[in-house]
Amino acid sequence: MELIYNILITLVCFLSLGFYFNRREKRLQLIAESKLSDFKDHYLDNITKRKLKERQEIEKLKTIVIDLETRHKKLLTDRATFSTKNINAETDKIIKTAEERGQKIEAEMRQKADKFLEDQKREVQGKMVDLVMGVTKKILAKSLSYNDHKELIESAVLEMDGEETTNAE
Amino acid sequence: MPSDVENHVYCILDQIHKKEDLDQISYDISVLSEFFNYKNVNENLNEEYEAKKQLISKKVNIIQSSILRRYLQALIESDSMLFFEPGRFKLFVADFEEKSQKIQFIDLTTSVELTPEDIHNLSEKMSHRMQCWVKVDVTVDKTLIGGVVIKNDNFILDYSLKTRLANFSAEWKKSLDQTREAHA
Repeated sequence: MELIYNILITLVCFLSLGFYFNRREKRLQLIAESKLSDFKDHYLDNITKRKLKERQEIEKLKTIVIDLETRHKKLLTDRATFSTKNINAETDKIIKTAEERGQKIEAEMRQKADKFLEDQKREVQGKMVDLVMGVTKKILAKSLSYNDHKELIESAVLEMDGEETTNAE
Repeated sequence: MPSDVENHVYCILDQIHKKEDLDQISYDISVLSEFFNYKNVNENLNEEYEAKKQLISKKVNIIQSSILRRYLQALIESDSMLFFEPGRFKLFVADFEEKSQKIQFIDLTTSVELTPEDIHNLSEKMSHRMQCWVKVDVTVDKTLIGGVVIKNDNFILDYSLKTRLANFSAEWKKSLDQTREAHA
């Protein structure tokens, strides 16, 4: 009898353990499923956002391409109107202006150089005269004797007579 | 033959070389002549010779012109008191005035110091030429190099080598400018 009881208790224990594990497994499965659905939602949301961003980028690129195409077209039309003849005339005009300006500057420079040379020449000649006069003064001062001085004074007195008469007249 | 009074006049005038000196002497003589008149003489008639001499000496000592003062002092010291007699002094004053009016003063500026003899000769020559008594006052200015600057009352004649060289230099520069302009 006792054996039968033991067997029954063991069976009850086995059954309760089986029930417990079964329920636990089911709960865990539910948690896993909910997490999976969360991840799925999050992933899908991300994908949607990315797609939207990509679409916007594509729109931007399209506008840039359109802009470039219009510029290119404009450039092509400009090139067609701006002929080689016009370029040559423009170049000639620029060269002519540059030449004229060059000639003007050259003439001005030549004039300035001539003036500078003239001034220098004048200055040198003036200094030369001053130098000669300075040397003459020194030589005269040294070489004149007392008698020479006396003669100079006497001749001046003689000259004075004439000058005085002239002044009186 | 010059008289005694004339000799005195010449002696004083010989020592004068500047117009300022002559002016000062003329002024001093006029002051003295007021003192040496008959009125004063009568007032001091009773005074003794020495007292008179001292009185005259006192008057002479206050004279500003050193030339005249020295000359008159020498006369007093040599007892030539006759000169100070009113009549004689009046003659002296008149003669001095007459002769001093004929004097012409000329300032000469030279570059060397002339000897007194040469100055005298110059004065003689100028007197002869200008037909008046010329008094020469010589000043030395070494910057003149040579020649002379003659200054009279109303004119200045510059015969110095300094001025002549300056004129020559200016002329030279002017001719250089003219040549340059002609080339241009």
